[in-house]
Amino acid sequence: MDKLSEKQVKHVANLARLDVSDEKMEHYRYQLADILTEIDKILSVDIKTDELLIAPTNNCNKYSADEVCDMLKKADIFKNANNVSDDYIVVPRVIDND
Amino acid sequence: MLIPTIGIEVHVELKSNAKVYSKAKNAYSNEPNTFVDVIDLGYPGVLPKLNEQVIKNALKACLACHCKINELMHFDRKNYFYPDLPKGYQITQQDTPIGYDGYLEIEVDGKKKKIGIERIHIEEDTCKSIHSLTGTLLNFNRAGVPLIEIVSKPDIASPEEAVAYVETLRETLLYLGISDVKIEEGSMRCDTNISLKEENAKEFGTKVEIKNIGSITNVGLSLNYEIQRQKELINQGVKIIEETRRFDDNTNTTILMRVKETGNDYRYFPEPDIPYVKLPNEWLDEIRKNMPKLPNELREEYKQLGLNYNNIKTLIANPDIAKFLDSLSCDKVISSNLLTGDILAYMNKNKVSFEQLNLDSNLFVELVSMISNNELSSKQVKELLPVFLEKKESPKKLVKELGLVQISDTDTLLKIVRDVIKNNPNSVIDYESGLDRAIKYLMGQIMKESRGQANPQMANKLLLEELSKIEK
Amino acid sequence: MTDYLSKSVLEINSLLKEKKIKPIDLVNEAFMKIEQNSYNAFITLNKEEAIKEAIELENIEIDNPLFGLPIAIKDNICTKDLKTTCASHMLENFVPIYDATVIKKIKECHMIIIGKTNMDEFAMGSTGETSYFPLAKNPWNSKKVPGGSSSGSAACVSARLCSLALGSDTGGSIRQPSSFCGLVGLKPTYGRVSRYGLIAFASSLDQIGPITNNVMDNALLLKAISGSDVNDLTSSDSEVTHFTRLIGEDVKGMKIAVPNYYMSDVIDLEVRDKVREVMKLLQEKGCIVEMIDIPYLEYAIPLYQTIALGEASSNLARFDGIKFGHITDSYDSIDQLYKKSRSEGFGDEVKRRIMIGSYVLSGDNANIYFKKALKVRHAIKDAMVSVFDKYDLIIGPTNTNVAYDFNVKSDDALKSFYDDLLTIPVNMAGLPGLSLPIGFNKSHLPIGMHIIGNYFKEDVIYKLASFVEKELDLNMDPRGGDLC
Repeated sequence: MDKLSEKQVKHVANLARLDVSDEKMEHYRYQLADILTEIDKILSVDIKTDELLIAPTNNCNKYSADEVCDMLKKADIFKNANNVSDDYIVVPRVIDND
Repeated sequence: MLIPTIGIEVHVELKSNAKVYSKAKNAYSNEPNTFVDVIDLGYPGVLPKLNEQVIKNALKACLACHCKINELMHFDRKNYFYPDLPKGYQITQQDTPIGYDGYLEIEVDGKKKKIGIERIHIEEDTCKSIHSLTGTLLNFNRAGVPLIEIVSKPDIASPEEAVAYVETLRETLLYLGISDVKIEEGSMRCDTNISLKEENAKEFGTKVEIKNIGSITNVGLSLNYEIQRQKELINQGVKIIEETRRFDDNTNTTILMRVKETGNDYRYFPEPDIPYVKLPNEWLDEIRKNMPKLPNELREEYKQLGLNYNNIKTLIANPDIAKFLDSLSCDKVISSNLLTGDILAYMNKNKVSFEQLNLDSNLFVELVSMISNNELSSKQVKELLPVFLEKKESPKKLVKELGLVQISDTDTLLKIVRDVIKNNPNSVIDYESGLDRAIKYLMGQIMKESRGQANPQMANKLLLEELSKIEK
Repeated sequence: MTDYLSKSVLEINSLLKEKKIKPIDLVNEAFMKIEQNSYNAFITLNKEEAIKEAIELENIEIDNPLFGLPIAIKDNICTKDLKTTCASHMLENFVPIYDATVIKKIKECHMIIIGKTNMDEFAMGSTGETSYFPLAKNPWNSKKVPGGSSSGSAACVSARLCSLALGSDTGGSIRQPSSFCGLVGLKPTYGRVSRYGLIAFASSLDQIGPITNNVMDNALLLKAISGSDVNDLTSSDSEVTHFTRLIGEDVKGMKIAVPNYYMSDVIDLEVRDKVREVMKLLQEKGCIVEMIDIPYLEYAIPLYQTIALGEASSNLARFDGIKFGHITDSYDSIDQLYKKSRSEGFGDEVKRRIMIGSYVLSGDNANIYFKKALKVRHAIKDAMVSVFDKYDLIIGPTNTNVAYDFNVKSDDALKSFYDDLLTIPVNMAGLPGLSLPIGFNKSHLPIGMHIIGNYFKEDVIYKLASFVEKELDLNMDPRGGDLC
């Protein structure tokens, strides 16, 4: 693949909630295509296993007991937050609840 | 003819002490942002835990819904940006839902039908958003509260079936004791999707999703409206668009929220922070062993016992009362009448739960047998009950204490006795042919006529005297 | 000025026990050195707190070899009340409200945190150059990069600003800078050390590990930070042994494999030659050293791009300007708040990697590429682990080259990953791997050798590493190096 379409790059940027400047746009169109070409190599690998290695651990059934532990004080919850009003963290009004 | 195809997705908050991936308290609080842990905030560096009880509760739901169980499961991340989603992803189960391919049996107009269940999976709730004029306020108390999502197959063919499905599901989960299932309070949330197609068409029509359905009644109302709306459009030759609508309970209509974006790109991938879960057989065995009687099963039992439709409905809606009834060995019809009638009314009036009522089953049985022996009129029962429920003393004793008036005046009693004899010639014949139960029956009638106020001993004496006169 | 911090942990421990020095002497020395020349190793110093703790320790009994020792912490490990920036504008003012598990353990050992070290932004890079802050320099030659992403941790230990540091390794971020700076750096077995509190880059690859001047110190520090943790479900219950237990033992009879892939001509000749010298030495000392083929290793980079960046795109979604981190000045919708805050807060490399990661997971790619990558990863793991049926250890070069100049890596999405060609497979399999200095190239820049062990066999790695260290007896103090 040579390069991605501008639309494709915009879609990915929107998924990642990043702005892509016009200057970077061309750059990304080629770079993402390069990466895809690179990872295309994976598709041709002939492997016998169908098992996924999600994380290299043999851990299994790691539960925690249904117990309540100490919780945060409001001061801590809000410590690094940028916009706090009374008892809440505030964001610009959103209505469309998905 | 256009026929509807309906599917329903139900989100249910599960009961537990702690949240699903953190150890913050899973409960409602009036105080915002108090039941919060670093994990619920999605703080940099934190990792999820996995609450054992949540898995067990989800398993109960799966088994009650006749699902197959994914014995080896992992979790997945569903990635999207929204202010109520602290991590920017929700930990859910995409590839390996804990349960799949089950069903729930519903009954509409006396006809039974199995509604297929596609999948049941575990996930986490989001923050509660409060929308004010200046902005949206985030309350993290709800973030990380355990949920199961129950996705039906598109097997539902009418709004009535949809209502029955949601109701049956709600009852079932209530009986499992794993959720409050209060739709009005948000611990159970329904989204429906509906499409119309010509009766014999193979392909489904275009699906429209309905959200924000705040009650079981609204499930029916919203679907009825939507069927009408879509029918009109189709008949006008307008193409249905794939969109999400919300139910507006002021106007009983559905309102467009948004047109579906082409394929939500949630970038699912397996959650690396939670190792595989292999459900132990012992868990399944234990849950199966301790599975309570579920509403469908109870309904059948009640029918066999001769309980009426309304009583059955009320009993199913009140599992603790049904459980109490189940434990009794006395007349179930009288018992159920009492429990779902005067006692439930008392509870509602005094705002006490059945548990708080702390009803003694022996005393209750005593009361029931008094009623079945016609020792009390229904009027007297009404008078006696509040006192009985408050004092929790023997009803026999209370009747005396209350001095529930008895007719001991011979003239009045004699008049009643004579009327009863006159009105029940068959029983008199029975008596003459030596059947003792005729006396019992006639006594019953006397008690009834006197609204239970006849002095039983006197009435009995008078009855025998009058009958012997007829013999002569 | 004193120079205790160039001594080994056990030497310092003796001095402390004999009351010849106090912890405050070590802390003072560290800060004096840092003031003289910090090599930009630190982003945040913890001076006041460190001095306070050092004085408090005077009344506490010395109960372990690491007691009272200054330690530097990579700035992607959360320290309560001490700024943790991930070398990013995004977290420039972020003060965690909790301690990472390793930090709790460090504090339990009464070690003294002297500061948070420089790094590539969010650990994405292999030179230290993607840091938002002034770039850490290589103490062997300040024109050269110290390597990355644990650039500051390596620079400060190498310059003897302190003797111990923690780094994190996702695709080589401990081993590569250790190799570039002539240090001993270990990426432990996945699950050996709790990741709780490590700001995640790629969750299934990340491990925290020790960076030290010598093998013994490394083993001692690993012991302090290891162990299962209820806060990290992927942490292992595997027994935490005394990792020092095999140090000093004879290596005769050890079976060592060298993958042909690790000695191909992609690798710098001088680097290969040094590794060959060690192979020869080991054979002379009675080890069996054999060249082998390991399949699938050539897929490590595309796997990394898929898995590491896919996970990273998700892990970094939480930086949205709301609960913590940079927020843009003006916005009129939530979407603008997100996009502007993230675009301003993240540097170019981070944004590029998030873009790639989002891309490999978007639409059908998740099923086509990501799932396939997890299967190939399984195959790589099986292939590597099966080597240990016949061999005790795998060795080879840590890197394709020695430290290079600043600014040589072009803005090329692909090339930037090729530095980690030899380190990534170890993360893919979750195996432990260590970089050990084995000499210098002609420009007197350190060369590192990679020692890879089977799961939870860090002690066997240390056995061989300590043997080679002793045999070579190199002067790895760059302050001697700069003079050459």
